[in-house]
Amino acid sequence: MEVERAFRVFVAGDSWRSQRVVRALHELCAKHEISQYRVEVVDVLQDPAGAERDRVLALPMVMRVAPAPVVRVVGDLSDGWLAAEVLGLQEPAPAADEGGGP
Amino acid sequence: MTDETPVPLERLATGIAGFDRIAGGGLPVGRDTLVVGESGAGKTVLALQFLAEGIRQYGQPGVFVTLGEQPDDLRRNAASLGFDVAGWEQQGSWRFVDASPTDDEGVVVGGFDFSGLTTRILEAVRAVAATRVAIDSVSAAFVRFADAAAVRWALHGLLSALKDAGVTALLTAEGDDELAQEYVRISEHAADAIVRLDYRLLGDRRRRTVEVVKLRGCRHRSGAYPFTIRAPGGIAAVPLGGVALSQEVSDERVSTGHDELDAMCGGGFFRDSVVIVAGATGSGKTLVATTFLVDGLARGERALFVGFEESAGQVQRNMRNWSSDIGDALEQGRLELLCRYPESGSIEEHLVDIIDRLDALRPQRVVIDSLTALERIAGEQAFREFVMAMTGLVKERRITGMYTVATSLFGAGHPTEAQGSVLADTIILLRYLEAGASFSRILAVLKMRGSAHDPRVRGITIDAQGLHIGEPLDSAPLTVFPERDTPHAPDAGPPLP
Repeated sequence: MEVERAFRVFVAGDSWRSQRVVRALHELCAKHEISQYRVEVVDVLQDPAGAERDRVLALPMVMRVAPAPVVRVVGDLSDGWLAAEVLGLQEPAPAADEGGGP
Repeated sequence: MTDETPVPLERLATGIAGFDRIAGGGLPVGRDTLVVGESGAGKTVLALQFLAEGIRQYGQPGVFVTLGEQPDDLRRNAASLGFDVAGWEQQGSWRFVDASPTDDEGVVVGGFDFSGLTTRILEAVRAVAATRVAIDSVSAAFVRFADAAAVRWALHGLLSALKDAGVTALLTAEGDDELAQEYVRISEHAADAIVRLDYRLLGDRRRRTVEVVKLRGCRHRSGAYPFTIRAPGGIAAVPLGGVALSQEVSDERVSTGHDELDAMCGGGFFRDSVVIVAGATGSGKTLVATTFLVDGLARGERALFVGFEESAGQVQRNMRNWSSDIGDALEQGRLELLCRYPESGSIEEHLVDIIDRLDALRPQRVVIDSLTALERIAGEQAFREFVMAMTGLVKERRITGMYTVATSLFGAGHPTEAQGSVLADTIILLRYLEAGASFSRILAVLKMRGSAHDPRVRGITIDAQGLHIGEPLDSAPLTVFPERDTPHAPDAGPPLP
C-alpha cells in the first residue's frame, strides 16, 4: 500500500521557472514510480498570506507536507537525483564502501 | 568610475541622536543604506532604532525583516532599549517579517531567487503603509544559502523591488564575514549609502564609533564619531566639532558674578565663550563657578551644573551656603545638577547625557566641575574630543561654559591645562602663594580672547559671604604662572631663587 504524498510548490508568478519546477516534480514522481501524490501550487504573488504562513524565503520551493516530517527543497530541482533523495522519493543512495577504492 | 555631478538626494531624518548631523541630514530617501560592522558593534540596535524613531518621532510605520534572530528575541532586545515594539505591532505601525531559520531549512537544488521574501516584505509594507524597512542581516542569507553568487543576485532583486516600492531601507552586514564583505565591495557601487560601525580597543578602553563611509552625491561628515548605546535610549552619536567656524561670535557680555572680576575681564565673559578656572584643590574654583551660576539664576536665566567631584547633595549644600536662591531655582526647574562618579560611564556617555540635559533645559550657563575628574577615565584622544565637543556645543548654542581644572598645588605642567589653554577663551588662575609664615590665595585672569583685560595678580579671601578680590599685588613672583603660558605680568619682580 503506497503512502500518499502531498507537495506544496511555492512560485512567484507564472514564469517559465515556475512551470519548470512543477513539471520537474511530476517527472521525478513518474521516474520513481510514485502514483499516489497531490501537488498544490501556491503563487505568492496571488497569495502573500500563504507565503507568510509558511515563512517562505527563496523561490521556487517545494515542500513535502505529507508524510511528516515536512521537508523543503529550494530551487528549480535542476539536480533531480538530489531533489528526489531530499523529498524521499527513493531509498537514499547506498553509502560508499568504507575504505572503498575510487 | 567617476561620479558625474551628483544630484543631491532628498534625505530622511532617522531621528537617531547625533546621527543625522553626521550624515548631513539623514539617509537618502527611497534608497538603501548598508550598515557594516563586526558582531557586537550595534548593527541590530541601529536597525531597530531606525524603525523605532521613525514611529516615535515622525509617525512613519516600519517593517523589520529578520534573517537571523527570532522576532521574540528582537522584541526583548527592543524593550530593553525602551522601544515598545509589541505595542506598535498591535497599533499596526510595526510589522516583523520573520525570515529567521526554520527547523526544516531545506536543501538548495538549482536556481532560486528571493521573490518569496520580497513578496512578504512588500505585503508587510502595504499592510502597515511602511516608509522604513530594516533588514537584519544580509550576512545570514550568505550563511544559509551556500551559493554566494546566487545570494548576491537574489539580494539585488530584493533591493530593486524595495526601491520600486519607494521605501527607505537599511540593511546590516557582518563586517567580519568574508561573503558579506564581498557583497559590500560589490555594493560599494550599488548601495547608495554605507555606514560603518566599529567597536575597538583604543588604549585600554573599548570605543564605539560610527562613520558614514559613503553617501552618494551628498555632503556628509567624514571620519569616525563616537557613539554610545544606552538602555533605555538606544544609540546616541556624538557629532564632534559640530560648529561651523564661520559662525558669528557674540559681543554680548555676561557677568562673572563679581564686579571686580567683571572689570578684570574687560566687562565680563563673552556670551558664547569657554572659561577655564584652573587652580589647586581648595583654592576656590568651585566657588568661582557657583558665583557665576548664581549670578545667571538671579537674572532669571537657566543653568546646568555638571559635577564629577561631589554628590548632588553636597553640591546643593555648598551652593546654599553662598546663595539662598538656589532652592527656588531648583524647584522652578531653572537649575539642574547632573552629578555622578566619572567612573559610572564612558566619557562619551557622559557627553551624551550632558547633550540631553542641554536639549531639555536649554541653559544659558553651564559649569563642568571638573574636567580633571573626567580625564581620569578617558584616553587622551577621547578626552580631547570631549573638550572639543563641549566647546562646540557651548559656542553653537550661545552658552557661557565654565570648566574647572585642578592643577598641582603650586606648579603647572598639567596636560589639561595645556589642552584647555588652547581651547579656552578665558583662563582664570587660582593659586596659593607662600607669604611669610602662611599661605594666601591669589587670582589672575591669564587670558581673555578678543578683549582687553587686566592680567595683574590679586589676592583673594574667602569668607561666609563668598569670594573677595583684593588689590593687585605689586610684585607677583613669576612662579605663579605656568611656564608655557606666561602672560605679561606688569611690574613683575625678579623670579624667586
